[in-house]
Amino acid sequence: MATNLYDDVVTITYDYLGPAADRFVVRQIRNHLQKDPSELQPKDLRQLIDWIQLAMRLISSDSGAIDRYVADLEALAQSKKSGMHGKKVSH
Amino acid sequence: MKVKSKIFYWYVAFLLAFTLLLLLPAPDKATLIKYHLSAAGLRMLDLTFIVPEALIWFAAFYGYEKMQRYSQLIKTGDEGKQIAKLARGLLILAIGLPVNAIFGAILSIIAAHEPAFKNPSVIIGNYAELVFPLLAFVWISMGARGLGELAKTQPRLWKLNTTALAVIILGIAFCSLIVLDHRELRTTYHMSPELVMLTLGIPYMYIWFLGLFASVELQTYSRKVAGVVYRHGWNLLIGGVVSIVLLSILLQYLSTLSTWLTSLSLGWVLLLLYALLLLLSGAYIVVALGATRLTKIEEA
Repeated sequence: MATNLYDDVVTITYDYLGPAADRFVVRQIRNHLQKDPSELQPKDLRQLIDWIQLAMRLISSDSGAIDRYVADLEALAQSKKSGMHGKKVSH
Repeated sequence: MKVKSKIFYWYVAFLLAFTLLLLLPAPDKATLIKYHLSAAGLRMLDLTFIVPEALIWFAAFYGYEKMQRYSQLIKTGDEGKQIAKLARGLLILAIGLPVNAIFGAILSIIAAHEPAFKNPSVIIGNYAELVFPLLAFVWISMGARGLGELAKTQPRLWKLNTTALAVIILGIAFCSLIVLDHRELRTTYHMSPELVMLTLGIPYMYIWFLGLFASVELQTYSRKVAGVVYRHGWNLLIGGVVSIVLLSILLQYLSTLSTWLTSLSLGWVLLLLYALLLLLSGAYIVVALGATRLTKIEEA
């Protein structure tokens, strides 16, 4: 089943914030990107990751977990970026 | 606890009422003779009792307020409704501490002025002490069950067996005390052993079952809950709730062993009581710490 970018971000976040993942991601997108979660685009990911990283540093002192979380999001951003390039090449 | 919060005013009101009820009436002569104390000495002893009581009530109200704030933040979520039930259970336990202490002090004052009321005051006090834990543990068990249903988790069979066994052992020991030492217990409870077993023993065993079973369900849910960072706060919160439940059961059980307690010296009784109250305060603070961490996640 195809998932949108917001779902991908929530899926990654779930490993770190469990049941709070969905609410957390929605707040970051709405408050900092001023967007509806369904409107999240690959180009927004860089900014979203920065905000998430900032928020996580305020929430937790577990820098190892935060670094892994950010790395997972970076990997998602990279995959979406290469996916977009792939589409351009195919055109 | 915020100074402007309603719960803080309740705390201050309870503390004032308890302090006045303890310090204003003339000291009980029987107590002075029993513990070889002067009137001033008894007042000092009262003060050493008020201070830890004040601390534990504060910790209990503080822990509840933090948990309530967290549950309000997630009230729209499925687990929010269950956390609210746990918070309500903690509120009832927290309110039960000062209300029972104040009610006990009022009963003592009436009994001091009306000796015929002494035995009924003990009976009323025993039933009053049952009400708050019963209501609180019902709410806590509902919250624990709700969380288990959400995560589709069930405690393992050996845990259920251990819980049942623990309740049976606690219950049998309680009933043995009533049967084997019934003359002492008759003077303690001022009721027949049969009535004590039916109207105090059974409800207490039910409370212990609810509390122990809820603890097992909460720990089972905690093992399944996802989120590395979330679990830091969650484990503190649930660890605190489970500790409160277990320590409350221990305190309830010790109160049924009052015959044994009165055989101890005053120093040992106070030491045991303060140690348990200190642990209970610590458990409420752990709840507050966990709820604060989870609140940070919801506010970031």
